[in-house]
Amino acid sequence: MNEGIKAKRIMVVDDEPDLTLFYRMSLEFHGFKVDTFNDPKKALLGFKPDYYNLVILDIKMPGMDGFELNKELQKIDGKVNVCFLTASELYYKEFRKEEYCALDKELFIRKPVEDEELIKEISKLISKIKK
Amino acid sequence: MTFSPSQHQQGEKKVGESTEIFHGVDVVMNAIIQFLQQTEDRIDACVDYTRPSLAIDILVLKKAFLAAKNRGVKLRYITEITKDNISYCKQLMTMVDELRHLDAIKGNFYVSETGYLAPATFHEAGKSAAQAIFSNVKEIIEHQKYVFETLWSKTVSAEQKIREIEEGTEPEFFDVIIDNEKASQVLIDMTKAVESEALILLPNDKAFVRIDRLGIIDSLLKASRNGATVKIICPLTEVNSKTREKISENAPDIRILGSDISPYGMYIIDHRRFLRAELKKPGAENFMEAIGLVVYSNRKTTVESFESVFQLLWNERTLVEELKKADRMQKEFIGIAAHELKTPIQAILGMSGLLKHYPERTEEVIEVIRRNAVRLKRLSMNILDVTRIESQTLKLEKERFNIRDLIPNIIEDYRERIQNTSNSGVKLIYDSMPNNNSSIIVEADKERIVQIISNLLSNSIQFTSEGYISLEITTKVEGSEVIVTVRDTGIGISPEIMSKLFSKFVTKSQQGTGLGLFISKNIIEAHGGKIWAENNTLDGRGTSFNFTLPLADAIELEP
Repeated sequence: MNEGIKAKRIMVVDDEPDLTLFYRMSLEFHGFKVDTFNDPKKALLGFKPDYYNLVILDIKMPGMDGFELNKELQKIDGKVNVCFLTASELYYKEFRKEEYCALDKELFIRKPVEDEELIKEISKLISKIKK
Repeated sequence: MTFSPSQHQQGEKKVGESTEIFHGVDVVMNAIIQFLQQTEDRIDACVDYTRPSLAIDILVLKKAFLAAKNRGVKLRYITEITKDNISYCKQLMTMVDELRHLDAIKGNFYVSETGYLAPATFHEAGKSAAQAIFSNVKEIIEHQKYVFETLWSKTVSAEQKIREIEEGTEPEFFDVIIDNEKASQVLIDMTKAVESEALILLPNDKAFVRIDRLGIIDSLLKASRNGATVKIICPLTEVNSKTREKISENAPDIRILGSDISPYGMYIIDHRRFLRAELKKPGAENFMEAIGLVVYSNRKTTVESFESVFQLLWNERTLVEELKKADRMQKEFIGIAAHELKTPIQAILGMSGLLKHYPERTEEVIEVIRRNAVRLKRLSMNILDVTRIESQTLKLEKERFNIRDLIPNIIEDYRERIQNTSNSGVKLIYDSMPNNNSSIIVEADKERIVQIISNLLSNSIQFTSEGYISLEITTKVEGSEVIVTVRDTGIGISPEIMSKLFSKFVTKSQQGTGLGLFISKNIIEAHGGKIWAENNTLDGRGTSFNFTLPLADAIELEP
């Protein structure tokens, strides 16, 4: 693990508490600082500009889906990087069709994902971050 | 050897029996009249198309027929009903017991129990016969009666034949219309005249708009409102959505099915008229520009052939629509089921990979894994149930049992479960009705009924943090069904959930699969019962779920 990655702060939003627990444990073990939210609206309230290096979003959530939440987050911090995580094939296809495919800034991971794979993908994305 | 009547007569003739030939128009006429006058029981007549007019126009003959009828002679009359003799036949129908039609009769004969008369001549239409054979030989009479019965069995009723002739009084035509203005006028007139049915195949999406401009859609709306059947097959796109909206708003009985593009439009009206218009310019704005060659006909065989083609197409399109819908629903279910299955799999897979990193948190991690394994198990069983319900292969193992006997175990199990939740203060009440503890016998699948009651209790437990959950079992006064009610003092059901409560994947629960109530509903309905939910109005909080099951025997209630 290098120091650069260690310093990064990540917000994770997923309506399943067991899954946010997994993301937190996995990411923290690899040196990231992690805040988790199960309610997307609370996540929006907890989001600050220039604070997070990466946001990991579930897509299908009650109240507000991951795409919507991302739009709001981008208004607050247009530089923040996003990784969508979802189990839904339908949402995945929808995602591929739309403009979210700015793949250098955004990433898409399909559930289920194992610990090592998650960290590999996240690290790849983080290492591209310029700042 | 030559045939010799005298030899024959010598051998067979009985006293008073003879076979004779009459000559001359008057003689023959008299023979017929006498035949009619002298018969007491029955006369069967088989005569060609010229005879009905004679029977009416020759007064003595008419009188003889009427007199026979008045004497109670049973008269059966076969003739060929034609356009020309139809009015005579109608009159004759009132003079004989039964008149039936047979095509192309050439010979004439009358046969009774005692005689056979055949005015057998070469005759010109409308003229009386100049020769006739008469016989009262028993064997000949029997033989001719047999001939008559054979012919009779091949006839059609006069009413049917007359109707066919009268409906077909319009001369057949098969026109090829080259003048497009004339063609569009024909189509306008044709659709204006719809009485019972209009079958329409439109070649492309724009054709719908084009015929609307001609006022044809308005004619069809009117026809449909007057009770006519209107079926339209057409490629359905954005281009004709407005026209279709107009139809569904004004005449919702008009049925429209989608199709591929075809090279011509087809209009079949009231089983009588048929118009086929070749599509020449598919993109044209108006009908006259769009069409090429037009065929217009009332020829019965043509109309019938195109009607059957239309019907085949209609059936096929209906089937395609049904398949599409089933396919869409199945895909949707697979999509959601896959999503739901992946959530616990993600937890199990992810957390088990973390065990090695967190030796000090093993217990916590294993608990998450276990919890999600249970969820996965429940979910997979539920998905299996849904698949069985939707493929109609769900089997009920029905047996007779007292539904009250199920309750103690369930109650005990769920009291324990409540103890293990954070809402352990919630009371689980079962009103066993000590005053009326009679057996409530149902014929049902015991395991499935336990599954449903457990499902309802699990739901209540999840949404009730204080107060009570009660389980009640009551029978209706008429004693035909039992009602099981699970009532709680929980958070209640919001209106947007209430309307789709028993659909698949509707849940606000973290632990639920969103399938329990859908499965419960289907199982209860398969038992002939009902299930429903209502928010409690009495004490203003919580929800009641009720289901009914028919009783195996109508029970006698204690007074």
